[in-house]
Amino acid sequence: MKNLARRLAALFIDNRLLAASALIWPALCAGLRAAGLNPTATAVLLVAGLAASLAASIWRAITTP
Amino acid sequence: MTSLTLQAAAAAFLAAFVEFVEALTVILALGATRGWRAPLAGVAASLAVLVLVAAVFGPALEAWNTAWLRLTVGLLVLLFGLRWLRKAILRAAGVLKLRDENLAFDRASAAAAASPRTPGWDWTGFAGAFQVTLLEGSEVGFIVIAMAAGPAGLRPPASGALLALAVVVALGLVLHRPLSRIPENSLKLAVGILLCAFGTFWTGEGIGAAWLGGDLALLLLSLLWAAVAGALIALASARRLNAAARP
Repeated sequence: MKNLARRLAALFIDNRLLAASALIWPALCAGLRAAGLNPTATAVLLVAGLAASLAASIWRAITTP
Repeated sequence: MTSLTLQAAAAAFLAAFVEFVEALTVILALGATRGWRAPLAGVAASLAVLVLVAAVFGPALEAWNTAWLRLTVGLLVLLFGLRWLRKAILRAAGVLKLRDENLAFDRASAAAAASPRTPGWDWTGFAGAFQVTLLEGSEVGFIVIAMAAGPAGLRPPASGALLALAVVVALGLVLHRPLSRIPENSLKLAVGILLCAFGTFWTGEGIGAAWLGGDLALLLLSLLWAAVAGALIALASARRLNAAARP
């Protein structure tokens, strides 16, 4: 049962860096939007931030021995 | 049929297909080594649980369609999609090993044969099939329920998942062996791209971002995530080959 619960949790988080950035970028964009950032620029920043996070996670995986 | 409806159905179909292929491997191994009655009962019990969960949460999410709900679902889909995409990119680049269904079948068969048999009902066969179907099916269930929170509603993703189940069951009945020739990683890559597109779209809507082209933006986001994935596969492959060539 414990194993099943652990594996179900891993469906969402098996890489903490990527999971954290998937939450941080939307929070940052929401904050900037509330502070007056234009909606289209918010969308562009969100996509760019998430793509950069994925790239960073891949880079870390291929450069860490 | 809108692009959003089609993409919701395609994401659910592809995800369900890949997950059910993996579950089929273990169920075939259990059935071939321990007999079919208990594993099939385990599969039926697990599918009943999954259908019940989807039947309860799917319509509830469909009805309670608010910006907050979309943001929450968007973030969860994003977490889920980035995880699939990362793994598929690393596998496509050769950094992680590809899943081998024949090897998985041999391992599952050895484990099933090693487990002691008791007289009467085979609880090991039942529990093994129940657990693998629930685990693989819960990913499918999550995707179907998450898609139900979008404008496409429950029907397109549920139909996609049920169609995938029917196709995998039919292939399993006809072939009686693991579906090792299915390009699993390419399908996972496609699912990761679609989930990231949906997750980005809903999260953006939830935080007040504006997407150019309305629902068509989902298609553009899919293309964009596909381009990102392609570039990262090329980068990771080149890096791996360079590392291998170094003395």
